[in-house]
Amino acid sequence: MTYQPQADFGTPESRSTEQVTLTIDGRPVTVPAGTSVMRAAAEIECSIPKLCATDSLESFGSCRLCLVEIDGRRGTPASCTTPVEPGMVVHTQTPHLQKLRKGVMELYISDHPLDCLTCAANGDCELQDQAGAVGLREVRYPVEATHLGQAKDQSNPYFDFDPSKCIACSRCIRACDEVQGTLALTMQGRGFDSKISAGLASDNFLGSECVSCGACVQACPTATLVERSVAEIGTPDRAVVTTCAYCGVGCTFRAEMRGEQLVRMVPWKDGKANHGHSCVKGRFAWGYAQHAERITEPMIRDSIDQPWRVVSWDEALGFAATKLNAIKARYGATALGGITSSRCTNEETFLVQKLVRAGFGSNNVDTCARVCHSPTGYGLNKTFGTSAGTQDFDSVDESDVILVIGANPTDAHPVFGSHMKRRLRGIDGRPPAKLIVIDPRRIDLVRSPHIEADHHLALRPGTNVAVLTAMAHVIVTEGLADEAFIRERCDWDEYQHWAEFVSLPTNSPEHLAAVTQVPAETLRAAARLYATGGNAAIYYGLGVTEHSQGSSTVIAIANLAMATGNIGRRGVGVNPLRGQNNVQGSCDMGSFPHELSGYRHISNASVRALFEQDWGVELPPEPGLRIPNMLDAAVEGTFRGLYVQGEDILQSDPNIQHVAAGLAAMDCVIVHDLFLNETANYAHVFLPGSSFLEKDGTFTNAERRIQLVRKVMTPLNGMADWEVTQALANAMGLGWSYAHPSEIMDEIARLTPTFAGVSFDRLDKEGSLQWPVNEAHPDGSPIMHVDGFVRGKGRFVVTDYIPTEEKTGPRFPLLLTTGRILSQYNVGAQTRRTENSLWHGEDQLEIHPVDAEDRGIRTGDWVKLSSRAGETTLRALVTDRVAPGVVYTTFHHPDTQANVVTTDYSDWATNCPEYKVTAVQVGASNGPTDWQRDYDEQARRSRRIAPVEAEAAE
Amino acid sequence: MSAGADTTATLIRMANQIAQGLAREADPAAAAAEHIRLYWEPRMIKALLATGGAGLSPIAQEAYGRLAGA
Repeated sequence: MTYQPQADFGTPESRSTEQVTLTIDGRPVTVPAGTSVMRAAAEIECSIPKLCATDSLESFGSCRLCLVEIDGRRGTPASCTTPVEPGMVVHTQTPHLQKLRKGVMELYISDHPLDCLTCAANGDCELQDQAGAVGLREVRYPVEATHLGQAKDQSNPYFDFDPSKCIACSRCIRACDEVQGTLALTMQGRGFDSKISAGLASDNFLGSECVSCGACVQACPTATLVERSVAEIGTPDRAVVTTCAYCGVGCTFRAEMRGEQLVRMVPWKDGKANHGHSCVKGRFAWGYAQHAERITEPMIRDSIDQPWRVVSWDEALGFAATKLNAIKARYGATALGGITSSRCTNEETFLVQKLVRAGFGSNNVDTCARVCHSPTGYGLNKTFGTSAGTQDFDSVDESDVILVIGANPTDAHPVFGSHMKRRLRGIDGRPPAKLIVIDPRRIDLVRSPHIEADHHLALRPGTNVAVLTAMAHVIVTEGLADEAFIRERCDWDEYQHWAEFVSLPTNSPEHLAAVTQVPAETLRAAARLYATGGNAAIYYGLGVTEHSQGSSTVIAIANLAMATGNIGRRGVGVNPLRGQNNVQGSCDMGSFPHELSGYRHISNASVRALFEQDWGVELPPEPGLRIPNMLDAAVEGTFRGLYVQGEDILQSDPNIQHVAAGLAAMDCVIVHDLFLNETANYAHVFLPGSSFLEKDGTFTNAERRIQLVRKVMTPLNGMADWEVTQALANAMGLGWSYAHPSEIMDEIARLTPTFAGVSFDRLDKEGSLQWPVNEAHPDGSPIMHVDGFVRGKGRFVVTDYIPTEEKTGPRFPLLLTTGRILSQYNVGAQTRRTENSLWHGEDQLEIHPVDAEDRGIRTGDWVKLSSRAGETTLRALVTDRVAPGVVYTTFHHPDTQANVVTTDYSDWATNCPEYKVTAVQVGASNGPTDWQRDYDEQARRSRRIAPVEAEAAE
Repeated sequence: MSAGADTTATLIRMANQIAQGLAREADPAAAAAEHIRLYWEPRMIKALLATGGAGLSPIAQEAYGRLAGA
């Protein structure tokens, strides 16, 4: 499509169901009650001049440009702050209004630079447009005292702030407040001295609390806040709606393009997951897609001590296929396997598991969800009967109590974090929701501007089950359970068995306080609030799943929701916040070794028959190996070939030394990625990957929402990832012939009942669909378990608190837990290759002042972090965000190698690693450990690429 | 898997963890055996059975018996 800015109706949509009819400029219009006159006019394409109004923000009424005349009313009210009334007669353009507006505009322009031709916002400036709209032709005021010629603030790497162009409309300040909820911006001074300021007057944008979400830039009507990319490239000439490839929120963006060059990513107002908001990653951190380190040609080598050799696609695919076929012939199909990626599309993931099952002939396929949300699949399936969250994001608007456990939404799921903060602040006009945070660390939500958690349960890492069981104890023993709901919707006998268990004195908060370190009264108060505070919703993340009792914790959460009747309607539910963009999708697509797409077990003969008939092969009926088991089997010598798409198991999986040993033992490791990642140090074949900007497909976000990813540029490597997998399959002789990812989705829909109604055509028309989409739910399912649980009766499962085997002791007295920071993403492969590293250039170890003092450690010191598994070094940050006895770090940088330290303990049901609890010691250090030095040397040698020999001139 | 010392120890630990995780089920040993059948690759089950069951908890031992008898 040609470039059109997104429509702006001036003020937000009213949700009222009552309709009001009025007349504007002689034309009748009917809108919901509560709509502004400005918006009502916009509905009939009558654009009243405006500057301080935009439909992402509440009306403000400061610019005096949107004045109208209303029959029977005196004066000229502002249309943005005047609500419609039945029978109202509005005139938007009269000689009087024209004169007033021209006068107002003349004042604005008298203090605005007239460099329109060389301005970054030329052609995309509301001030310019409105000057035209009001017919301004001259400025009569003398140029005396003005705000012109002030220095720009260019500290932020992604946007510039030019105060000379500011018209003091406060849109940026209001966006920071209402949309993002950070409140970093303020109006400093009064009257003529009014000036937008990020933080204190001494701060610049980078040094302030600004989180660089871009909401202010989007709201700015002039070039005061403008993307640096627009300043450098120019305005876009087309826009394509696509889906972000970072976290599981699944924001949709308009990729605004000029030719094949991406000018900017602008959050799409109609996006159902993000409603026009964004974070620093999706909005700005896309430069990695064209980073100089991206590998765009295939490479091979016989052994990992050799340098890489750049070859043609045919040679690389032939080399890989020969090796895979040879391994299969000699060691059998079970010696081969693959790993699918939660960063790739559903279609690509489906193809990789199909290649493994139908091509390799084994079920040895796993996905990175193994190390994050596999317990969610297990736990929610056992209790509710489906492996997914129960709500859509908008459900939070109707929550009265929000319980956040083991998640840090403002850092890891920032756009939903902002959504949640709006509810917690009650800026929708309803009383603010109450907040319970269960986290060993004082995450931002516990206390941030205008938000304070009602209860923060700063539990000892590893005691989630004990805390949740103690909450259940309070709910049951104090008679707060919703027995009517339970009798109707759940298995009553199982409930009674569970209730009897949680009521045991050994499960009381008082008894368990010694273990959890949560004061009993705090826990009791939190339990009472959750059970009796109205609609209560639970949001959780990897602080729940990445434990030896990860699956039990998910089950305990489901038990609480069922016991209090908080399931099956808006405002309640159990909501796993997914780490990566397509974790939900990769799990849905049959990436786990024991199940086919739609979570159907491989041992089910009738399900297998469906696939066997479609694919024309016989499938093995037993489950395949999980990632850690693949590595064990590799060390043992029975697993010898692995195809890894878009994953970096050497950096992201626990106990790196074990992963390295497993990879080193294999005959053929194929890495398919954008970059020579850490796993590629052990690879024999490198197949260059394509970015999300270079392919068509779908991602499924944390709300089960399937959304289109649209290709906006030609792949630098020549092929989208699904084409590469198909080419590898065909090199092995499989004869696949997909011409477009939509054909792969058609196959998924044909073989997967929950996807039966999904197609690219429908997604294109409707924007998104939330599975299940089938005969029973033709338009998808925003909320699940509405009339009953998917499994029939909800099932209560007793969850015993079983302490992890990872224990502190004299040698390792502290507990290490890990997490993420806003500006970086997972192992950092993408964000480290952007300016986001300005905010977070290295992983740091957070340590409590008391523990730091005991060890003589100050902020900025190098410290050695050691566990039973290994040791690494990083810098310390002394802070009381963590409790005494607990230390915390991120895992975004490969040189830190936090996973050298994590152990191979894992969840009992799914083998999801116990990243969140490692017993460690911290001490002063002089520099990198031997392991870090050896690793650097191996990585440096392994990344060598042999120079391509010059071809002889003909 | 030819089951080296490390792998054997891992499998025993996993089996014990599963048995403990399902200890509150009506028939814990049956549930543990079923869990292993549903989620373990045949090589892993074979390697577990080759250990003779030393180091297994009572529930895991019983599950082991059911897997061996299957």
